[in-house]
Amino acid sequence: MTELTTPISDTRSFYSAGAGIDALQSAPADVPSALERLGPSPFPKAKFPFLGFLASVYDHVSSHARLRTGDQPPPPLG
Amino acid sequence: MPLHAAWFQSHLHLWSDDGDPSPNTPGTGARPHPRALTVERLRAMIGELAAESLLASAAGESSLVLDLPTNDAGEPIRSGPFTQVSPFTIPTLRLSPTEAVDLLVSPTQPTADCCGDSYRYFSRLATFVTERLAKQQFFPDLAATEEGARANWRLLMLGEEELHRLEQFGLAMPPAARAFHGIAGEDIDPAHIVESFLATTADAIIRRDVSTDEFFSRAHEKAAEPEAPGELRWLSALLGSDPQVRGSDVLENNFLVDQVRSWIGKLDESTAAAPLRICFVLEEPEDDSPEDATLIEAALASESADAAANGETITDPSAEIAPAPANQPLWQIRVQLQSLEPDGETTDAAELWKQRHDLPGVLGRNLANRRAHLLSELQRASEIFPALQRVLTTPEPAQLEISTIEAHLFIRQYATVLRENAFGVTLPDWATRRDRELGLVLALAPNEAERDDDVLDESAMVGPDQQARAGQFPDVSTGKFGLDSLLDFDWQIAVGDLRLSMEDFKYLVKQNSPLARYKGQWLTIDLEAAKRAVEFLSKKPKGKMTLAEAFRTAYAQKTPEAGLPVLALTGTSWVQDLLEHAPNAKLQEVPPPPNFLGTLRPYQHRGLEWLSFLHRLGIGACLADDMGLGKTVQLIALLLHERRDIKAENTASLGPTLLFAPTSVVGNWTRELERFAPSLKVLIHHGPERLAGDTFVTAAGKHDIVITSYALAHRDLDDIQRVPWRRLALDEAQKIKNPAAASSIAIRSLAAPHRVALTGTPIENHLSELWSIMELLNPGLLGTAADFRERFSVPIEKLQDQSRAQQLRKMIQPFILRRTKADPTIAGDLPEKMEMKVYCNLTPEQASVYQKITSEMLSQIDAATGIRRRGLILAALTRLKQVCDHPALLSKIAPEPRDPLTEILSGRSGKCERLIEMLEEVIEAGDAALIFTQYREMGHLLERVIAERLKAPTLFLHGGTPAKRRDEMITQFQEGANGVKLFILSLRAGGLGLNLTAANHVFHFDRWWNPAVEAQATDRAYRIGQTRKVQVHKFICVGTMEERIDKLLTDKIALADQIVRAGDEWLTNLSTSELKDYLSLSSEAVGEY
Repeated sequence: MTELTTPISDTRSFYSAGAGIDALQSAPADVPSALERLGPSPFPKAKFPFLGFLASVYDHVSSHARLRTGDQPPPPLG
Repeated sequence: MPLHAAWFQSHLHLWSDDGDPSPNTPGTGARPHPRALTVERLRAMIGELAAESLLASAAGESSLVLDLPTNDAGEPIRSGPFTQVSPFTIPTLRLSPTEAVDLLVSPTQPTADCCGDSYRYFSRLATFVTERLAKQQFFPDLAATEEGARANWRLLMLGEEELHRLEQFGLAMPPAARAFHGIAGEDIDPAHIVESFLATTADAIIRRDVSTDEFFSRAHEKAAEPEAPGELRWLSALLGSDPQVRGSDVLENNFLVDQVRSWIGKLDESTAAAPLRICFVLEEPEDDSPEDATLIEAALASESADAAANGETITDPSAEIAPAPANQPLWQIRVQLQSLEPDGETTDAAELWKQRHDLPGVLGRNLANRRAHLLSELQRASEIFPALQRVLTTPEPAQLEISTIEAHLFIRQYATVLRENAFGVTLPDWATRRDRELGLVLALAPNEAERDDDVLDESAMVGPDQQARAGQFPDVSTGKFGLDSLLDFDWQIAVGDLRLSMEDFKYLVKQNSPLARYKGQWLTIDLEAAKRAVEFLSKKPKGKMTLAEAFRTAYAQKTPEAGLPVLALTGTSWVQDLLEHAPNAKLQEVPPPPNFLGTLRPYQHRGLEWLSFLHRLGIGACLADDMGLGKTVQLIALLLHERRDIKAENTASLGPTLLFAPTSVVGNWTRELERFAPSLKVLIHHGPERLAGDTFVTAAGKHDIVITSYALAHRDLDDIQRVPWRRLALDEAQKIKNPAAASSIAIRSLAAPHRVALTGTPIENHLSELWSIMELLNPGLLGTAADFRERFSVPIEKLQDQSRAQQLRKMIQPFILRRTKADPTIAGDLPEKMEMKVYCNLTPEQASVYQKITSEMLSQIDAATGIRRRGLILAALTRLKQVCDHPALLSKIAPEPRDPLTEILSGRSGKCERLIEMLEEVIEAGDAALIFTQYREMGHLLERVIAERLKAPTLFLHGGTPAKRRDEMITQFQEGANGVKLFILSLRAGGLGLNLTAANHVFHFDRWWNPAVEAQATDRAYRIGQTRKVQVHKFICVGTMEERIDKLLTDKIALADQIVRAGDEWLTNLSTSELKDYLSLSSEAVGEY
């Protein structure tokens, strides 16, 4: 057995999430894609279309994620 | 049946304590949880929860040892208070990162009945990840590892809001989600668990998503080809299951990592939120040497002994410079990261490398990004300061050791370039202080015979009768005082206030180091210059030169032979007083002149003392106080002061002062002299009736001051040259800004032992004016025009050379006294509102029209009576007022907009000319003004004249201005939009309800003869919200009915009341004779423009 060093004294608190969790529901605002922020390719002399290829990755991952969330906001906790 | 979740070692563990109770197992170690749900039941439960039931089946079996709340008997409890926890082994279903996200972001949302908060907590985190992926908020990364280079995907979290959200996630984590028994450190740290979950799941999801599409396999194929470039191998490692970059050596990997880190470092730059700047802090070596003077003394003693032994002398300037010591101290450059947000924190890069995971602080969060940013920025900085490449070879770059030579280069060159490239640089205090630079001081001292201050006393100011008695008339031409006086000079080596002996200096030079420590302070030494200085000082360290030569040697000449820069000119006795003068400096006390009818403000009295001081030295003075501070009265006070001990009938024996002034202010001078110094004999040499030839010469000699205009300097030069002037005085001295103008040449050709210039313009900003004025005041001081242009004008005005500008300021500082209204030492002496009358002369055209109107009216009213008589008088009055403003107001033909204004309007109105001169100063000082007139046509005319002559935008508000436009104008003026500093208003339209506190000057171009109306207009600027002193300038034409009525208003209160009540009506009741007295033109009214 271990004496508690933290001030938790109620079992409910032990299993519960903090109140701040409710503030975490908002989806990110419409911001530029990270790839857009990154700007020109760091490999300007590359023969392979590096940025174009990466852009395909971004689109692909993004569309999968949208399917996963169903564009639905998560339900409130508690 | 609550389902709990925990993130442990990159996997999600699910468990439940809602099973059937089993017997409690006693013991001290971890026991099986008596109500743990079996993995089979967990699978069943998750199968119902997940969208794809196969997920539950695919999950692996595992277990965790968790510290859970227990009662006093050691049994786990799920409700109520508890005081202890005990370790329990509990079976779990173990999900990979992708499985975890698939489950947690299932469309079937967990309810409180089936899932505990820890489950729903990770569900929220998984949603967080998925939403960021959906919004494309992720980026590829590459990190150097012991095995090579490892590629991974990271979530992009920039901006304070996002970082705050992460922090909140950490704080909200249920304790049950991290209750791992026997685990310490980051595995139970909420921030680390959150970061681990986000990073691991994002990377895994992206890899799995792209693996489903054949298209992306092209990257693997290309990367597998021989000689595949680094970017393809990186892409392959990003998209496949193996994150390790294959097929490259360490050097290639490092190069690739640098390229990638530099690229993704832009993500930090691309956001304004939580930006970070890399700073370099230069730190001195530890002061562990016994050096300083003691060391120098010891070294010198040793050298002397050696030198003596070798038959040498250490004062030999050509002695070989010793090489730098082999074990020079090492300097440190410490690397820091600084948040650019207000009150942003700064942390050492070393701290960033020590951190094992993200901490709640802004700098600690996004640790990987911060490290990447640091590396990419260091890479960028190393392209500027190559020594930094050394720090990049270390695994955790945080500080760099550099040599003294490198430290010197860093201070002198790289610090500036780094700052220009958005890096922060902190240098030791001494490195940025110019007073820590080695230089020369030219110390001056009057010869012993002249050091007695008593010689330079008031005797210089007395008249010939007293001089004869005293027998000690100090003729400034004898060379005892002033710029031609011969002084002892002594070159000294200095660092700020510290003086170095020649021996110490030579020792420092022999160190052959650009940075050296002396008396505990680091000094910057230009070695080549210092060597030249040793030679220079050895040749002629002392001697004699004139004060003017000293000024030129110190500031105005190229003195490469001196080596070091000349830092200052110092002196003793009166030379010290001259060099160190300041507006508040205590000079020899001068009592207020007894004949001055008024009270000098404290700063004006200080001005008098300063003028008197330079006068005694025979040095020309430029009084450059701001407009309105009373330069005129200070000069008048000087004239009275120097006559204080001379009998009234004998004052002219001192010799007259010749005052040059613009035509527009000749009248003003006349009135100011009458007001403050009626005892002075004043001759106006101006206008067509002025004296000429012998008559003028004789008359001038009998007066204390002769006032003339610049225009006559050249025209009447022959007569003017014949008078033995005591002093030349120039008002509005900027009028001689063109040194090649005929009037400037004429004035410079005049002989006079004393010279004074008055100007409200900051002439140090106008170098041609400065040279021209100083050449008149102190001929030769600034060198020839060509020298001055090469030495100062071109470098300062065309090349923005600040050091040269500073040199020039130092050089002219003893000769110019400039105070501004904003000067705190002045502001306290000034009232909030200063009203002054501005007396102007009429032009010949104005005078002629004025005369004609008066004559016609007087001839007509004799034959008229009653209403007709009153009508004639009132009509004439209006026309007289208008002609005093501008004769164009009486012209029926208004000038067309296309007409060249300078031909049609300029030079025809004395008021207009004066207004333009004063507005020029207003604009120059950055002030703003309201200009009131009662005639709308005059307002339009002023708009055009100001636009033409001053190129300044104006606003004009009159009775016909629509309300909306009026409001726009007020806003525009108050906000200073479009650079509008001048606001013309018709007196009536501008008299009510306006708040125009942006103005600190109010001009009444013509008079309403009703003080209440004028005061109301003035108060547009002087009201709540006004933070500056307000100056009110009331324009009056000398020798006209304007001046006479103003005098009535001022002197005769009873009549003034009548005037105010009846407007101009009271004049209609005067007799023809009385009217003639009021309206006729006096001879002094006309000026020669």
